[in-house]
Amino acid sequence: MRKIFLGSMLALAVSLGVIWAEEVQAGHSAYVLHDGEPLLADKSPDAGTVTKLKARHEYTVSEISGKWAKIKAGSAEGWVYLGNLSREEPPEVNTSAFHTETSDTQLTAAARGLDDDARQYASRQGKGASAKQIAWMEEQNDSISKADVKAYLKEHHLGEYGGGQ
Amino acid sequence: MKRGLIPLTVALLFCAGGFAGAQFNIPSIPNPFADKPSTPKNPSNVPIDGISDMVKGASGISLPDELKIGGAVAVDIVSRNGGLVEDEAMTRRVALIGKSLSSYCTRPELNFRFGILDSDSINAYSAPGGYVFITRGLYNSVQDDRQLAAVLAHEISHITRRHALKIISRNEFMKGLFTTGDAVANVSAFDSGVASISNTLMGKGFDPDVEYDADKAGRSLAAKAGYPRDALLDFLTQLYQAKGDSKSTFNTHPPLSHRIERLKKSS
Repeated sequence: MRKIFLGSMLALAVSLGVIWAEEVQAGHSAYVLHDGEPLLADKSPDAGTVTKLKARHEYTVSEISGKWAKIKAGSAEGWVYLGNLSREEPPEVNTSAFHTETSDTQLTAAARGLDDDARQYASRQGKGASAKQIAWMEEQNDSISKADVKAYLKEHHLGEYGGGQ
Repeated sequence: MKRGLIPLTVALLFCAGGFAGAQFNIPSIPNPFADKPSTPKNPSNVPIDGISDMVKGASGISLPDELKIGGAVAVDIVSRNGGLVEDEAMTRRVALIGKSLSSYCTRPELNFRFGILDSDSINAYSAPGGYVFITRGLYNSVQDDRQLAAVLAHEISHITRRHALKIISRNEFMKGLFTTGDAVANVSAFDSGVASISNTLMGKGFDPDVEYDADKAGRSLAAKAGYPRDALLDFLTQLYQAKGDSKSTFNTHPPLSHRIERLKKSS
């Protein structure tokens, strides 16, 4: 019984550490989710850009204020919306993993249709109609650009456009 | 024995706090998106069934392989749920909300796609690689975009946390399928494996602890995107008040009452 209890308490200690470790905190490193994320002069998406940050590069968070984190990037310092930061290094965007070319207007670094093997699976299983519908769905989704999403966030006061600091 | 346990418990709790505080330097101003620390049986990045998170993901499955598997599972989801609702306005609404959420998720390498299944039931599914589906019944049940965002954030979290891939990696026959480069090496094994995964997702569903984890992660993602943290709790409560723990509502998820209880405890 005692061993079970001690084990539970150790698991609790580890769990707390794991959960807290997931969130960006002052005094520790963080990564931006997207390459070219602007480091802003103030805690506002409309503030001027100090510099642009690199994906998969470790930055130090010196302060957290509301929904914003103060980041040091070399000699530059500025603010990034917390939602655009991660404690964990995001995976590399490997465009070679995708079959089609991408354009700057698309939401992610690489957009592509249903995988060839998935399409062949659909054919073998007699589910070609479903694959066709997924292609329609992908077309609808891929017609939405980064600019559309940004405009949506602004219009609905979401993310860094939500107001307040 | 009990007298000895109390100080030991207190000491361990302080150790936990001290460890976290020392290593992560918790500031006086908390991260507004952080959940209250709790003790789920299976926090998100704790391996399921002993599978360790690796660079390639939960099971060493590469992105191209994830897209093969996810695409095939998406085909199954659509074919077994009445097909898709081919309504441009409805799909655009869901996709805009979904992409607003996914722009703050931790897997920027994925291109998330969102669709509506032509089914009266109230449910939602996700497939590896970025495919998210809600049913028409769910679409008609949400009161507003905030509740819709809460459900989509839950499904996005299943993908970003590679929950389905962790199920896949339990199946030994999936290993070695993709060793020949781009093409699937063993078609019959691939088909059988995909069917097995789809049966799990659309049959018994994920383990309850995995669903609770997606509830919490989804709530955090929704908050990052600027949606209210309590929107999922509100929606589940609304459904529970209307239908109780009905099998027609999220039947591949834990009972609504259990999810509501967990969300309340960790809010």
